[in-house]
Amino acid sequence: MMFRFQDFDDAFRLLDDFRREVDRLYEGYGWGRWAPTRTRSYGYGWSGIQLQDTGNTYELKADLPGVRENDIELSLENNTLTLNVERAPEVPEGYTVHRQERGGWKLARSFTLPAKVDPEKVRASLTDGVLTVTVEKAPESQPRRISVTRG
Amino acid sequence: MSKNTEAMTQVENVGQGRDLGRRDAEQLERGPTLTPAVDIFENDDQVLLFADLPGVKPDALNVVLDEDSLTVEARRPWKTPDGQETWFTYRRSFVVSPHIDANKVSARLENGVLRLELPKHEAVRRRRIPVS
Repeated sequence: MMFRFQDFDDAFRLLDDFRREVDRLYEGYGWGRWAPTRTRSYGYGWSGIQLQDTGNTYELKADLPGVRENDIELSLENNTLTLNVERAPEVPEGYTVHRQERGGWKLARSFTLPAKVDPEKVRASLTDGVLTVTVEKAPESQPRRISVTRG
Repeated sequence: MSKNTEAMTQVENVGQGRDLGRRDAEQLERGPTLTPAVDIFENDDQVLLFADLPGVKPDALNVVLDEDSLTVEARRPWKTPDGQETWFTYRRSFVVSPHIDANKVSARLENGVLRLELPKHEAVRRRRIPVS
């Protein structure tokens, strides 16, 4: 056998990372802006969107600079969290454009949350252009400590 | 070809590539340096710049204008999945023409967007000459 299993894992992980990077580029978040590195977040890498399992909750964070609360469509249905945001490009009247990288974009993402969540316990807030959505897991999905007895 | 004199051009952040390639301990702890997206507009009176800086609070933002360059630098707190509190940096520099009146530059950060107004000196503003 030429490769150890570990090498396959690494190779597939690299390909997977690469695929996610390409997905990110194509999802319309913004051409020409290169976010170079992945943080170690699992799920969606550095695309300005991060979904994290904190144990008791799922926490979704999305970079939405210049977006107002009314422009955000957020819904939770059957354990799936859906986010729809649109930002229109703003070109002030009477100005020449030297550079326009921020552009307008449309974001449409759905996240099916692995463990059952409590739809009554969802909080969402927008601060400094970052949307944070916290969904609490249902009681049966909460992590529980298992004690080990000497046997 | 724009009819206004280009009052601002961008200095490519030459260090950028090096920052990313380097993986020394300090760099890893600090997180990467990212280049924020900007829009730059100009009319007869001023240059207008918008930069996307999500997650940045006004006290974590530095806008520095020196003789011929403008640098926007900001720190954004970041929590890694393993719970480590760290930060990363947004940084971008621009070359600014002497047409800009440095004393009248204003900056405002709202909803993660920086708005910079760079008025031009009175003397260089384009004006229509009335013809009798």
